[in-house]
Amino acid sequence: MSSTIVRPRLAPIRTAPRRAATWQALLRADFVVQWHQRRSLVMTVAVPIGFLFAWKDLIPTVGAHAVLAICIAVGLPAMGLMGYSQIIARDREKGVFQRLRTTPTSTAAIMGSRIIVQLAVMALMTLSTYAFANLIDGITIGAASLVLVVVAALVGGMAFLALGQCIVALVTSAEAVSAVGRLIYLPIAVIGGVAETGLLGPAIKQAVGWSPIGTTKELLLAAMSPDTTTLHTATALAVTLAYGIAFAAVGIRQFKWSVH
Amino acid sequence: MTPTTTLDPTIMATSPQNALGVAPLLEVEDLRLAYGRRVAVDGVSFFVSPGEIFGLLGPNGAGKTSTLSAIEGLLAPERGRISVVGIDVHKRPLDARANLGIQLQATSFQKDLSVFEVIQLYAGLYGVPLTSADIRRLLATIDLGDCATMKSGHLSGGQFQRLALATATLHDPPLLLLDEPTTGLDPQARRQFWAKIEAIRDSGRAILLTTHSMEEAHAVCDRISIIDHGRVIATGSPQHIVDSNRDRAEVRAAARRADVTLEDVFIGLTSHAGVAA
Repeated sequence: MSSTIVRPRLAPIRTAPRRAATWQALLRADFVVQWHQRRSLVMTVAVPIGFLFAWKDLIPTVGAHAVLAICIAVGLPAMGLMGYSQIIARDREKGVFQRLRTTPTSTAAIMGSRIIVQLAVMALMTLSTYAFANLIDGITIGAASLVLVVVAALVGGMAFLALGQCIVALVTSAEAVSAVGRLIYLPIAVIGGVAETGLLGPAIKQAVGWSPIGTTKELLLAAMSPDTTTLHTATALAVTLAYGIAFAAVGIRQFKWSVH
Repeated sequence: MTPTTTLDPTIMATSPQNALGVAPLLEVEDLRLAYGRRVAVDGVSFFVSPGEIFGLLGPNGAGKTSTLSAIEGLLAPERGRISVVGIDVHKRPLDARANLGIQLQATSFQKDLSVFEVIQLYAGLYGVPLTSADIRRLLATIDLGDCATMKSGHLSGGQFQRLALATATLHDPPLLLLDEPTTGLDPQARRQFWAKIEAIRDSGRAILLTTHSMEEAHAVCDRISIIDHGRVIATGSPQHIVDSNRDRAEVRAAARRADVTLEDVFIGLTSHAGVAA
């Protein structure tokens, strides 16, 4: 038998694909994952609608727009503290991110795609809550105000996503992230939400007014009636952004892509 | 008589610019990696040529996975240079990764994605335009045609491993990195896997792998490096390493039979770090 040494064929050398293509692939996959998790999506959307029913009787005393604003504000941290942080912690623990990071994709795109999906869910939750408020309680806001309400919800939602990022950066195991998220959600959302209605007294209402829930509610309320915007609204916007930046700074700086 | 068409591994062992005049697809030069004050890899150098399976062997904690992480651009070296198809991994990480196919020790996909959607995602990430029909054809070629709608987490070990290899090779990369790829596979799945890897090698691609199975390393690797305590202590073809170390006292002490194996040499050398072949 004769033996021949062959020159190997060389594979074509590639360059990284266009950013748009990788973003498109990530967004499609993350929206598909969200769609496959539609049961939890329904639960997420149902939280503020549940509060809307529970606090229906407060409308005459607190005001229709204020109740709607509080309900939306209470729904936002559920996504940041329990939805987003838990998905990130679980995928990190399973090594999903390690595999994604070995592709020609930037880490900003990997995380950015997930944040965009969460923001889309927040917008859906806001619109669904308004639709129910309109159907059940006859609460109405103009089209321009509705757009502003969605924008305000996204600004407040970013602060809660940043808080979720902060938790997943500081806590390693997925189980612990889940526990911490629930522990923080209770005081932030429930106590914050109830205090905003005034049921816990004026002193607590004032204190909660500068919490992430309080400032988000203030932004939502101002968005529903833009002509009533005051310096307090501008301060609430600045404080909400400050929360978001502070949480994001810790969350991004301390985040580890792998727990192994 | 039919002439054989295999590459002669000895010609790959001489220098980066090997006897065929072909530049290596991976070059690692004087690599030093540290986690804080703990040095994981120190002064590691090797190269992998086209048409070659190169094994990086070492005990747990020797620095194999750290070295792979640096090649993937996930770990910044304190010192040294890594190039993939001539591209500096740390200057142009995305372009370097576009030429790498990677199968990690614990590869995992989003648990809610189906097998079809996993392929769709990774095709997009590597910039490979695949239609639905293309994806179904690809799944059929890896015997996952019936599993397209199944969640990846529900696949058996062998099926999952075929999916992982498909995501690593769907962009036809010149260089494939495999981190302990056959862990947990049954003998049939292992044999199928190595047959695929050898076919990829024979098509001119290069493969760098880590494994704890000395038997597999001896059978499939054209060359290996044994790494211990972050340093390369032996490099060459498996048989060359066995032949040049069989008379060492520590290797003879590790040998359980008269016939010295690669495993005996591995155990002998890694029990006495600092030996070079």
